[in-house]
Amino acid sequence: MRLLLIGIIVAVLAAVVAIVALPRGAEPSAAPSSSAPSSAAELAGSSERYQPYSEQALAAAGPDDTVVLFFSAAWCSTCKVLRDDIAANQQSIPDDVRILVVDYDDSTDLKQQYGVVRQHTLVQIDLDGAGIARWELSRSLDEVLATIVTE
Amino acid sequence: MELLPLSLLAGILTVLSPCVLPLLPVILAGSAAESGRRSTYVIIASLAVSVVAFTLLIRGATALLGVPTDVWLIVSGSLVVFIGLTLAFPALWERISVGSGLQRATGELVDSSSQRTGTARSLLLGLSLGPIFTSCSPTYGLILAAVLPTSFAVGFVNLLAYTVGLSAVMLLIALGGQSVTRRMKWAVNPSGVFRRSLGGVLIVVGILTATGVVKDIEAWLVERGILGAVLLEQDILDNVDTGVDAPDPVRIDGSAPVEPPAFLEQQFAGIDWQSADPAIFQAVSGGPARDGIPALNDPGFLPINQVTWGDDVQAIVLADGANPVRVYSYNVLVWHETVNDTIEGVPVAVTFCPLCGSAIVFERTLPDGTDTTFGVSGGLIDSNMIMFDRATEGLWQQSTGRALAGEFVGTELALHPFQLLSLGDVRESYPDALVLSSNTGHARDYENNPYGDYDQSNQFYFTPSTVDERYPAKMIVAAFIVDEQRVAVPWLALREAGSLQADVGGAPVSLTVTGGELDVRDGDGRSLPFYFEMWFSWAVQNQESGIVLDPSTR
Repeated sequence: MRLLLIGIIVAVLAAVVAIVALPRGAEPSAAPSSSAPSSAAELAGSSERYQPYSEQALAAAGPDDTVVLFFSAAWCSTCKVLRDDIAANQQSIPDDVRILVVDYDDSTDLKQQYGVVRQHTLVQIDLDGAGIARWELSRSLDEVLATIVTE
Repeated sequence: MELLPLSLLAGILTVLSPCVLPLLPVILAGSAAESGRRSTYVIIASLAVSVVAFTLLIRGATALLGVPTDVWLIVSGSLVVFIGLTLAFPALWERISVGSGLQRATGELVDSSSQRTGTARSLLLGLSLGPIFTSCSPTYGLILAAVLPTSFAVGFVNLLAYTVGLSAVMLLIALGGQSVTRRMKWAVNPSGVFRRSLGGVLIVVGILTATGVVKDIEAWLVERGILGAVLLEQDILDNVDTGVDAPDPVRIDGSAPVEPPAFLEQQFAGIDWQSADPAIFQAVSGGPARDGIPALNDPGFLPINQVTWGDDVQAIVLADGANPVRVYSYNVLVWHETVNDTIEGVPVAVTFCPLCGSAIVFERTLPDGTDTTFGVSGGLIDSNMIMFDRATEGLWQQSTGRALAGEFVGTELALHPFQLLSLGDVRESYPDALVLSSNTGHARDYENNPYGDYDQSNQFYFTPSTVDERYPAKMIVAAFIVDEQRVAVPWLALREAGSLQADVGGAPVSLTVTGGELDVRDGDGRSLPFYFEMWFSWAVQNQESGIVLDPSTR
């Protein structure tokens, strides 16, 4: 059982080292340049209405646009199903809707801000970045569009 | 309850999903390496407990949202590596546990102790996998998103069913693997090559997990369309009436929380939150709890000629009305943030917030005339520290001096005049000055800045709610209030210019810098108190109404 104790010490030490050695992990939104290009490369079929999240992409939204953040992880299969569906049906995204894909693994701040606890979550926000509504389980673009909250 | 069989089935099917990739080799290698079936049961049982516990924990504890995904990977990966090491190098492990008196190595005990070690190892291995368990099952998602919020009991039962399904498959795989290795007699020898190489497998998988490579492999599989049973499960969910519908979206208002954060509620039990300024609800924990950063109440001082800290160390200097001059250098303030002192009969709080560079001296007299001392609450709003007064347990924001909760909500503390100088400047101008002693009664390394190069870098620990890009975030401004208008002046530019005359909404102000010392006067020649702060922090507080005077553009 002593091994258990030592194991717990190892875990705690690892956590401490991880937190100390990863200051950037807590600070992703100030460095969108580091995460955006990689997810842009991986995001098949991105366009103005469906693209990786960045502060610039949010700022580019027009005053009457609806912005939905899609918290997605590259390793998550349900995310992949929705990503593929959106990419395949891009032309059906209304002109005033923007779907911005947030990398679930790198976006601790945004997850905290909007209370996102699981990969594959959608968050509708206003143009100032304030959260409006949050939901999970959407499998298709149609379901996302149908769930968007209108004031 | 129609969902229950589906939950069980989803648990069974999860094994096909790339999301659980790291679990398989760890469980297979971990159980094959131990001698008895009992170890396998222990591994699977502790895995199940760990999965359910972490699922509920992450769902329920919003504080854990702040933990980056990498941290869980590193914790779990390190544990798996550690367990791998004890298998790969059994002799080393024995030596460590014997050498440190952890294990008595008498003959009769060897057997039972090695068995105990095996059990502990299995337990640890199972537990280590909970933090990184991320199911991609749509059914599991439905349980968490739709069932758990409406009925915890029903959700919990479904979660258990899912975990039972998952564990059953894992158990079969583990027992299968073990029965294969059992037939090979040579494999059972604890110091045998086979067992050690299983340890090697765990080390490799642990490293792949800790470095995040395992996630890249999963992503690679998913990208190639290997989605496990996702589509099958979605089909079933569409065609079977589970009695569970996708819930309506949860309304959130990210800009204005309406409750105090739990950590403040617990540590300041006497506060009436109804009357509090809603700004306090945005507070986040900076890490240390209340008084975790200890304010100094009975500061000791040394003549400056006995102080060895370098000339470039910045310091808050109380020159006016203090005889001799008192100096509070940043290298000590950074560890205590608040010094409660009395200068010629005036009770003052010398405060410094390292995360927003705000150096402010307040008079620590409350609006009702009582004197108080201030402590550090551990809470932050936009990186700025929240102080509390010990007389009424009210909460005050340092950057504005405004009470956010407690008896005096809405009132502001009076500013006390001071200068921001380097120790070099002080040595030149005030050779008789007294410097706050490092003999504080607290064991801190005053030669070291716990925040590293935070004040120079572009990084934040806590990203501000808004970033005003007119100036570099960490640039220091001198700030003052004239006619109730809050004004900021870039400090280095002002030092270079030497003086500045301006008109602030009809109120003339005159600023001069002599020998590094600032003097701010209003139109009637009255001296105005001022303070210093990083630009981003001042801008967050004064977004709408703040006025910036820039000497370099005049």
